[in-house]
Amino acid sequence: MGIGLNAASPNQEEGRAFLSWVAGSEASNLFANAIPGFFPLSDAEVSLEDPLAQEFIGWRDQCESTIRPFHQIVSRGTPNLSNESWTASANVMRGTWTPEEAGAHLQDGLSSWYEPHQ
Amino acid sequence: MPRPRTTRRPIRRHIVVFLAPAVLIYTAIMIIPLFGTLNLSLFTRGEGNTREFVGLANFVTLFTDPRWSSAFWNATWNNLWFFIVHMLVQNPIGIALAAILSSPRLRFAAFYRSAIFIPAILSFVIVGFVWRLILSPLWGVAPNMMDAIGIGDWFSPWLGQESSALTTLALISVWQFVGIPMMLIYAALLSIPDEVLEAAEMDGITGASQFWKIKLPLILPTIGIVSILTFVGNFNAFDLIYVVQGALAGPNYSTDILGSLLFRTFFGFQLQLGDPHMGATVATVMFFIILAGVSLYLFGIQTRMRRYQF
Repeated sequence: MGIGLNAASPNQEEGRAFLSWVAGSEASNLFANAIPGFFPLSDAEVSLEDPLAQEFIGWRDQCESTIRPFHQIVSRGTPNLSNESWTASANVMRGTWTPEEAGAHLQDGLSSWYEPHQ
Repeated sequence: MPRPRTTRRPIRRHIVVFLAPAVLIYTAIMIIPLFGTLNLSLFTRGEGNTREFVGLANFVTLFTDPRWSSAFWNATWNNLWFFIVHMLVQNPIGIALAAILSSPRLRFAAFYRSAIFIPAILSFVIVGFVWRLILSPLWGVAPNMMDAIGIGDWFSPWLGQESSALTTLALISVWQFVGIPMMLIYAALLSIPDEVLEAAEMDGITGASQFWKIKLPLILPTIGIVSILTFVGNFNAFDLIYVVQGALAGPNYSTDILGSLLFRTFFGFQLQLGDPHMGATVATVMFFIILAGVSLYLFGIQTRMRRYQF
């Protein structure tokens, strides 16, 4: 992911000022704390207030910088992990499944066709 | 005494000419795509995007693979329930409304007729979205209206519960389409000649018993047509489910009918890739279900139905 500035732009100065703000610590902190569930990819110093969000972002120490539970490769089979996640999260929110049941269901579906999980 | 045949009958070319437009158009837009679908279901996508002939393997997958078959049977039973609700609610109400409308003493009959028929000409998108808003537990008008007449405790988020979502959707569909059986049966009731009804009156059959003993047997063929239209319409239904519950037919696939299963399989949804071959397989099975139902009606019921000529 990246963000850039048009080299022919007449507003080079303002553009640079905006870019250094948006990629910096202030904007990343604002983004991370005002929009729950989204995490900045910026290298700047970010402090999260929510303890659950802190746990989520802590996983980055063990994996790639972007955490996307059901995107790209793991959603290219049947059953489809993305669609299953929608239904499973709705069931958890309605209270008909526990989060553990939802997790087991999703893992079961993924293991049925995704080789690294078999 | 057989008449000696001296001249051969001329070939009646005009029959071919008269049939041609209908046959050509019907073939082009119905028969060819139908066989295209049947054909598509016999193939699968092989390595390197090639098309490989697999015979009936897709059907075997659909009926024996635990995931496919549970999704398929879930959709089929849901679809059957959707149809049963229409038969038990929509058609009896349609007949009752038609009987009331055809009563000569009813005032403002034209107004009621139009008011009841108007939902049938509305778009599915409008109907689905409006009902979704009405029934919303957050900002819908249904909870407040029920509170106002003291039955607020009976409200529950019907579209969000697995036990009630499908029935609620079926009733929304009934609300939308009750005007169609009403209109067809109303027309059938109006076509009953006055002499028959007068003769019944002379024999002392009036009021409700006149409806049950004279009018109802005379409109039975129309009720049969309404039933078969309901069957075909319900087993091809998709739009309302998609508008109200989305392609995943939630909650937890409890409103998934064959149309929505076909849509997800054929076109894919979100990150799910479309599979034209499995989609065509589902479509073929749908076709055979509808064919079986229509044949049952045509050969089992319609041929035994008694018709009256006036």
